[in-house]
Amino acid sequence: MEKISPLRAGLNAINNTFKTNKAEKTNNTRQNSSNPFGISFKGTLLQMDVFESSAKKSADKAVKDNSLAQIDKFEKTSKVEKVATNTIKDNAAENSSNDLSAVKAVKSNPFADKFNSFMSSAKEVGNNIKQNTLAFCGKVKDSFSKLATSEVSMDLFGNSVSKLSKRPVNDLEGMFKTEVAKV
Amino acid sequence: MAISKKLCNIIEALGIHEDNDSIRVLNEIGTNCANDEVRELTSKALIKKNVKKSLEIVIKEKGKGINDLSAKVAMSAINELLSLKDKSFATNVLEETIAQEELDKDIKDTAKSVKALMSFSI
Repeated sequence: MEKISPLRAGLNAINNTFKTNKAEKTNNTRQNSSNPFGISFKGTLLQMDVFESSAKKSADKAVKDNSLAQIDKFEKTSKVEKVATNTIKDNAAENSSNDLSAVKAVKSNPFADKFNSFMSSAKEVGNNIKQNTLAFCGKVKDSFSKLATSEVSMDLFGNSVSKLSKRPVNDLEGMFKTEVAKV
Repeated sequence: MAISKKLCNIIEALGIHEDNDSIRVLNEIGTNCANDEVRELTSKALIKKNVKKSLEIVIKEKGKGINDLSAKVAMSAINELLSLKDKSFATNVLEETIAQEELDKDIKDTAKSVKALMSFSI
């Protein structure tokens, strides 16, 4: 047998501890990465991978259905082992309930609901801004067209009918000729 | 081309002016203007004066008032005559026009039609 010195034995122990810690850390990181948003359900952080693919889900479902069918078959044939089968069945039901809880947590997640409502309200606000802007642009365009066809007159009170009718006819004749020449 | 507000006010002011020389100004400048709108407003102003001299211009003279070549101007003048409260002066001038032999047949026919309309509107 090889003789191990106390120093070497200490080094081996430290190395084993480091390896164990590293493995645990990697496992924890994997668990956290399966739930990157830290979604919780009823105060408990979800540990299972809720983002699994639909193919995997269907495969799992098939396996569960198969196991339930086998349990039923087994239950019919053997009444003695009823207690054991009930335990297995409970476990399967618990697993499926956990899956349903995870799906429910994702579907009725308050964060997802809030995000969706925020997105829909943001979209609505954007559409409103767009419509208001278009309406405002139309009004501005109409105003400019009216402004282009309007005439600016500064002598508003001097040209009223009552004032003009008090002026001599000769003055009015001159003004009349001037204005007709402009037409 | 649309006429200015100032021109409208001048024609209207000449129409309500107390000086009879305003009739001469309206006749010389307004009724001979190439613009239909100016002629229309001048005819209305002359009829609103409701004196023999101004009514003779719009009823007896060729190409003016009810005898204007523009149907719009002529119809506007006829409408103004029909809307007069006191139609006695206009009726007298129309009867004189129908009776005068030296005037054109067209002017007489128009005067007859307007007189018939006025008799219905009284």
